Amino acid sequence: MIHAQNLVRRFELKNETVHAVRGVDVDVAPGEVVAFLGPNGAGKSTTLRMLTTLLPPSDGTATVAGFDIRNEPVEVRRRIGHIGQGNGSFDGLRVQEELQIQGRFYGLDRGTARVRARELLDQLDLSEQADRDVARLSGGQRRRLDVAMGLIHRPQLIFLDEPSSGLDPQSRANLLEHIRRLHRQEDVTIFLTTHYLDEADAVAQRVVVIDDGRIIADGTPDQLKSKVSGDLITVTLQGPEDLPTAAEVAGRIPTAHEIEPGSDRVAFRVEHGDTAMPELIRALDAAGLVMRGAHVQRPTLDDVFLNLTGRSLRDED
Amino acid sequence: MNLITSTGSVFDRELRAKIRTPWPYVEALADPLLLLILFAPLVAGLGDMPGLPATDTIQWFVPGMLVLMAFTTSAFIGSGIQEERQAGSLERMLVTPVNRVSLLLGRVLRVVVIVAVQSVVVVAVTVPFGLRVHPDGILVAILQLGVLAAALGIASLVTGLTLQNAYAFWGVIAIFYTPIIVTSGALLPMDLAPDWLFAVSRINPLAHVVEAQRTLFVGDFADSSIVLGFVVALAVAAAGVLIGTRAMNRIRL
Ligand SMILES: Nc1ncnc2c1ncn2[C@@H]1O[C@H](COP(=O)(O)OP(=O)(O)OP(=O)(O)O)[C@@H](O)[C@H]1O
Ligand SMILES: [Mg+2]
Repeated sequence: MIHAQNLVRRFELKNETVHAVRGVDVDVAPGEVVAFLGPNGAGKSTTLRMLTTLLPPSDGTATVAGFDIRNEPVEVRRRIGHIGQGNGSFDGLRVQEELQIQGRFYGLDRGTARVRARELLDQLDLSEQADRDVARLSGGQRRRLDVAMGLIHRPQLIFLDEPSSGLDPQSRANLLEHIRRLHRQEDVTIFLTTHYLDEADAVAQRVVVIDDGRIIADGTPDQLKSKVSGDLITVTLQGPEDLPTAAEVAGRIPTAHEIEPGSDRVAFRVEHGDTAMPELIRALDAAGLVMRGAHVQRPTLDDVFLNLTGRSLRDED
Repeated sequence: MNLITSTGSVFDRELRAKIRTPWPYVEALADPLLLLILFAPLVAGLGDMPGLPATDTIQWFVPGMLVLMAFTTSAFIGSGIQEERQAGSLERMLVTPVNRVSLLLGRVLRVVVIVAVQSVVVVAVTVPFGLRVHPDGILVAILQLGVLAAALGIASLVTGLTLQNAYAFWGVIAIFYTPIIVTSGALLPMDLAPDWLFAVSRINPLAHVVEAQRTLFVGDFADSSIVLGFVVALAVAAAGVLIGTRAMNRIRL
């Protein structure tokens, strides 16, 4: 569905050249849901803009939905939906007006556009807002309208650029549910960018990680996580004086590594954290230490990113 | 999507976006109508002067006000496309197969239609105050105002697309607004102007259309100013469409 080779995009500014994308290769098969993950400025939007024919690449080639992005941009546009990072709708128009006219931009006749718009408003829980000025929508409703506009022509492939940025957790969960359902029911190929790790985890079967214009990892969430060795165990103690003993006790667990004492807690990685935990508690008990808490965490994509780049994703947010 | 159906859809969207608020029309009509009420009496008070009729000021003043009305309706629409570019809705439309030039032409078509309607309204309210209209002349006059609105509208859109930021756009408007209005000859006749100012008025498209409008209202079809008015407006429109087409084909967001 997407086949990109060595996509490069430079921006020539007055006194510098920005290398936004430095050579991206991606292949996405029909029906896949791929999350494009990376920190601010990594080149996610720029890559998406090239794939959606908004921006010509400085170098490289890509076919999207079977057509070349450079030579057949209109054929590409007919077949894809793009939900950009900004607001797709404009104040002063009503929800159903924006949606129906969007349908007509794709060549639907008035009647078909009206029917399809109603169907989408229903699917995305916007029927009640159909006659409302888009300026009077909540952030989540407005985002769902963007999604509806991207789907009006039943595209085979949709691109979503940070679909849930700026939404509260509930609206986010709701939007992600809509995206998952879209994939289940209509078999649409989905390519979405995000900096939320849990979002990538929740909707995508495959995660492509981009950093500084280059792809640094590509795989299923589980494959990526398996690169991080082991689960993270954190035990909270009574006070700093207990730290050395606790670290020593933890070190006695055969697979324990990356032991890091904090102010009042010790964190370390271990294989099979769930089974290591009771053993640890007994050992700490025997050493006469009192614990205030203990916590096992499976590797997250944040750990993956840290592992790949030496930087945390969260710090960049 | 072909150019005509695309333009129709864009026109529809534009019309709906601005039909439920009176402000675009207040903005467009306030200036010309207020000048008609406040300034026309002063002109009438001047009496016999070169370029001015001794009596019957309204016959001289209204055609000029229609040209100013066409200007205030169409010359600011470039800021609208800037706003949509900023928001992201322009980007959303650029990813559809819609003909990109129609994104400009649909907007232009709206101001053409609005100018035609507003012209009829202005003429209808001034006829009771003594404005005489030549039946064929008025039809051609409204057609010409439409062409002028199209020319100014496309020029404004091209300016908005090229300058990108709102401060630059309104800065350019501020620089050109007064010279365009003053040298159009809509307020006072350019016959009063010193040579250099008269020369400036010759490169102002509005000045030629103002003269053509006055001739059209009295139905003096033999006068060459009518053709000149059309030629000037069409030339600006053609240049605008050419530059606008290039700008839309190269647009980067
Ligand atoms: N039009 C432009 N002109 C100059 N530089 C640009 C332009 N667009 C993007 N860049 C630069 O290219 C780099 C990549 O930007 P891009 O928008 O693709 O990042 P992103 O991964 O989408 O980031 P975010 O998560 O913040 O949206 C950044 O350094 C940005 O400043
Ligand atoms: Mg981005």
